[in-house]
Amino acid sequence: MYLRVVKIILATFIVSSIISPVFAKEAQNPNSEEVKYSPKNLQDKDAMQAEMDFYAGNDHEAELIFTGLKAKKDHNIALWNNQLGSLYLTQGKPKEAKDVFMESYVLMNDITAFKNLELSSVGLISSEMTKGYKGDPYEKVFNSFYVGMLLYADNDLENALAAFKNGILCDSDVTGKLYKSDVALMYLMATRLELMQKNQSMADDFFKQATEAYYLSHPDNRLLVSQKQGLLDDLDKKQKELLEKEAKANVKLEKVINTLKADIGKLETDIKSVEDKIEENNRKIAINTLKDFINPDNNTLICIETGRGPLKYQIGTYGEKTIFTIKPYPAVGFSITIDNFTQIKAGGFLRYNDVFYQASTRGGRVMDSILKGKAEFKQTTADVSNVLSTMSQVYDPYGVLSIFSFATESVSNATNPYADARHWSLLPAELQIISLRLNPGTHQLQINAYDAAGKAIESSKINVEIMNTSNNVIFKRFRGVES
Amino acid sequence: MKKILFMIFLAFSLTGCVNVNPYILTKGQTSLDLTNNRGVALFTLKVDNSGGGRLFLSSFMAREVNQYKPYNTLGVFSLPLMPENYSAIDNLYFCSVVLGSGIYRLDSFNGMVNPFFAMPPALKIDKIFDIYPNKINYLGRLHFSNLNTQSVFTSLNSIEDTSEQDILKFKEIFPVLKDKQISRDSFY
Repeated sequence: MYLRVVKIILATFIVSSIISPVFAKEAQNPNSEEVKYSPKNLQDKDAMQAEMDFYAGNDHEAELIFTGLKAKKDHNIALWNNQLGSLYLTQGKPKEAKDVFMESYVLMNDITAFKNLELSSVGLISSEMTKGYKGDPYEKVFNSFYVGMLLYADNDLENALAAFKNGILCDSDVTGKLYKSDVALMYLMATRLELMQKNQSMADDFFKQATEAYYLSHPDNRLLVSQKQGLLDDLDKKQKELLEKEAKANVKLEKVINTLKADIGKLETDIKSVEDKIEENNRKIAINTLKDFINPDNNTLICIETGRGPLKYQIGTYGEKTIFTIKPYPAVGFSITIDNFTQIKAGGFLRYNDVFYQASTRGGRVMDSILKGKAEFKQTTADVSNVLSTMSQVYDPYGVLSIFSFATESVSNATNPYADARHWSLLPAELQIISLRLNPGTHQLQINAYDAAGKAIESSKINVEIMNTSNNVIFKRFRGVES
Repeated sequence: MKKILFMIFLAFSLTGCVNVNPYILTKGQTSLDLTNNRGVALFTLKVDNSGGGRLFLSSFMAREVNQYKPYNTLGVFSLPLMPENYSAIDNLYFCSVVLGSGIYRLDSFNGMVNPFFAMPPALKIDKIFDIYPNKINYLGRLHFSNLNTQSVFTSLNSIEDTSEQDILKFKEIFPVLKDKQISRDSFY
């Protein structure tokens, strides 16, 4: 009997000595950073605080939250990694940024990753948010860009080229034909890498595509490209309709067929007219910056990331649709003063690497039609439920219809049409890049940001170490932190 | 028994007197607690109502935007407009929002017009704004140039930065802001 009591006491002592240190920290200081931001105390919704901390300049808090969320290794891990990557680049930690972007890169481009979660999100009852985050095409493009740039800076040129080619491939995963592969930056980096590896013909091909992409996404052409895409969609619709009618060919349809042919002729004329205007604009767009960018004699790329990336949020009666908006950032131009002596002004920068434009021209994914179906189902069941409920009050003294109504309402409430609004919100709004030749050694760069009126609105001084190689990369983020 | 009933009645009555909406600033407020990641957004509203009867705006609605939360759990805040929010001299509503740091959508303003048969108007805004932790930001002046009392919705005309005059008036109306730093931000 005594032996049993002694055994129990001993066992209790051993167990408590193992468990107590785990809770000790929490008991001593429940508000300590370690406890507050530990994975078990963090929820996905806390990421909003991290986001706001980042844009308020509280990088330390933002890092603690995103690191804690990443440690949970859940279905959002690629999102937390991307957010952390942007944060690390802002803090001037390229090695840490490369590691987390690489982790995301693997998950975002692996079609088998999170497969079970993706299958369950297609069902009527579960939300799209439950699937593993892999990002929209524009997010994949920019993840590939950062991976490519950081590998390039590490002298891993072959893998860097593979990352840029992957980005080009991701950019082709869009609905509108004209918006396919219009990120000039990816082609320019591929050109630069091919030139460094002495592959002149490949470099020429990439440069040709870079020029086309640059013209296509240039602000002077954006409206015209959008018009042309609309006309092409209409033309496609009319041509399909014409084929259907001609297959049925009978006298009654002759008038309809003639009208369709006239419409198609008009659309073709309109498309030609828009193409002529684009061509005229292209002749006026200077491409000197593109040539400077790929010049291998320029050993340094300075990437200025500006503002705040696109915000994606839900709209519609049931939050079944998502739209993008952007917070305007006043800086439009930059100057760089090197060692208090040489000043480089706006003209030399490669501009128009506009994340919002890339995000907003990449809609129409398969998931949108599934979500539309869910919203329609929710509307129908909600309507049936309301009608039955009203009927039951008038005609159903025994409550049979009420039970049925309640059951239908339960299904309606359980149906989950909410669109997935998860997005890489720490991305910048725009990237401006300049390619320069700097002598090896330490340099001080003063970068000034100017608004449209030419007034300096933000300024930053950084010391950089230029290596005796041709692949130095410097990132600097201007995010409009409120003072 | 009568005394007990009277005390219960009194307690209920007084509860109403001190029940202040925690999501807005009030005239009599003496302290502003911005711990726990709370922040303030300030903006003004001008409605030109040349043709119609008098407009009474009673509240405005802000919706939480948070990509990390399920849509059905996002907060919806109906924020009352008190008499002190309206300045008749300036024909301006001075509005405040005190919320946890995050992104919000200013949805609409709701109210009444005095012609009996006119529709109660909803001034549709649909603009996004940010609340930063422990910060007070002025967002601008919302301007509706032509209120149509026959239409359910009237759309926003413009947003202007009139921070210099508006911030002074905000400090006058809400003494709690008097010694506080107010930065500028924008709707988007």
